[in-house]
Amino acid sequence: MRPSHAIQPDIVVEELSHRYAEEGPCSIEEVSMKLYRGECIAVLGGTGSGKTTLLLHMAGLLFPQSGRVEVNRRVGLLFQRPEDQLFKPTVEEDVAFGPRMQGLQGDELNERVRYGCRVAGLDYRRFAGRSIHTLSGGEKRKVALAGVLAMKPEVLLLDEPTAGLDPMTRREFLRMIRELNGTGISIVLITHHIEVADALAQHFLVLHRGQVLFHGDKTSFYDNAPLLERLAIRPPFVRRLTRRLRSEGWDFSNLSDSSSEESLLETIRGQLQGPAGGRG
Amino acid sequence: MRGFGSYLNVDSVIHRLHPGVKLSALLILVSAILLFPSIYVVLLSSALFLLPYRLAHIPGAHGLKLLQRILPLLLIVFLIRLLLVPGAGEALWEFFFIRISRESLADSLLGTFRLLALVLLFALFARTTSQNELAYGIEALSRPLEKLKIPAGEFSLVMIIAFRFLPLTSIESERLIRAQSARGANFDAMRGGLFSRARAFLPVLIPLFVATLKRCETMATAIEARCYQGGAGRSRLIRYHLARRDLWALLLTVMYIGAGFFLVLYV
Repeated sequence: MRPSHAIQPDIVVEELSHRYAEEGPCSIEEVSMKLYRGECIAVLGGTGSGKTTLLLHMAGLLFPQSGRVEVNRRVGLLFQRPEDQLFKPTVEEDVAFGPRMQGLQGDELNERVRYGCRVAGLDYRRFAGRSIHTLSGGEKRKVALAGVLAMKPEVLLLDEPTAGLDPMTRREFLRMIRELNGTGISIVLITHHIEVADALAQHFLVLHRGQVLFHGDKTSFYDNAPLLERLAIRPPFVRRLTRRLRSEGWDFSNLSDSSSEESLLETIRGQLQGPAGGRG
Repeated sequence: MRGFGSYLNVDSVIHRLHPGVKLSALLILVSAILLFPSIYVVLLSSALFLLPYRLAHIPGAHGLKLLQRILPLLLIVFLIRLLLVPGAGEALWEFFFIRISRESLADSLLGTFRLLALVLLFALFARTTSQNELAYGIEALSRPLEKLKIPAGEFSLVMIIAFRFLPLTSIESERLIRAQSARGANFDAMRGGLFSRARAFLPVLIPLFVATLKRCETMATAIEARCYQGGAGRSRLIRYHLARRDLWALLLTVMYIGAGFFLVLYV
């Protein structure tokens, strides 16, 4: 359930349109959405569908040509390619850049750098003096995240945060993002991976050629079979299994987390051990 | 294809000239403009150089815009020469260290019109010569140097890469400005005057330098990975051949030099 309208959203986008070249096509066209405190919205869509353009507007790096973008809390943007985000020679200097721009100095600045590194899963003592150019892809991404977190953002804008990561680092990254979302940080997440979107987001926004194809909660997204087919999206395995079992008469009304394997197993186990042998 | 400077991608007799011929004509004409000490020659040249603009199908609006842009510079050059370089001969007007004579006036006009003629020449060249043609022209002209063991092929490759790096550097600096803005850096001063723009750009400069070096390294690896060896035996995708129009262009250039000498010596 989304919060009531009395609560001020963190980000409001209203009929936003943008084109990069005067004569060129619209990169995004009349896009509207709202992000409420503590929510995580996944923005899905093919390449060139306008996802990054939308995010750059939310970050204040692009100004609306028409429509309106209202940002009510401090945002931090994680770029799609960490190489695009890192520009200082060492990890410590790069992570310190944002808080320094916020006016912090001395111990306070130092503390922020350590905080950013800690939350992003970087060992400060090991990484502080490391040259940016000697880092691996996963480490660069962590440093980029540390640089954003050091600014203590209240809204995180993540542009494909798990692209190019190995499965283990990806899992670690997802855990980190989920924890950040759990602390009340609102998140807008761009991803091509439905599993990533499913694991983190409560709401989906689907863009196609700059226009909104779908905006709503996860369940109605998965229920929209024609849309899934059009986007060539196959729901994650746990969701497909749940759906199949439900169609065969299993009762999953008590399922606490429909994207979690453990939650599904627990419900199945509970029903098998139940008085009627488990089938509803 | 993106051109060097403000390349105008149309078909014309000037566009079709052999790049080597175009480049040599440019070099000869530039030397002549700089060396002929006659205001008549320079004035006539400025007018003459407008002819190929028509042949190259360059719209009149382009020429007017160019003139509009360089007019302040021409005025500054004229005034600096007139007021700060004391002329010989009888003074027409004198005030403290400023001394204006017929000679200084003529000298200032000569300098200003020289600049105008050079701008017209270079703009014509830039609008009618693409990056690749320019590189080809440089290679064609420097080929005889290979006999002296000077690597002309490598030199032209360096030129091509240097031209390719101009837009890349601009994209890179945009990326850095975006990355720094996203973390609170303020680039509002970029919209201000020249000095404040230069100051605002300083934090971008060092990372830009590092990123460009890194890109150079990547590009060198990419070129080597595709078997680049340079030197003799290198073939070309596009080959240019000398045509009659090229001979005409060279002939006209030589005739221009002859006419210039005539004017300098007898007028």
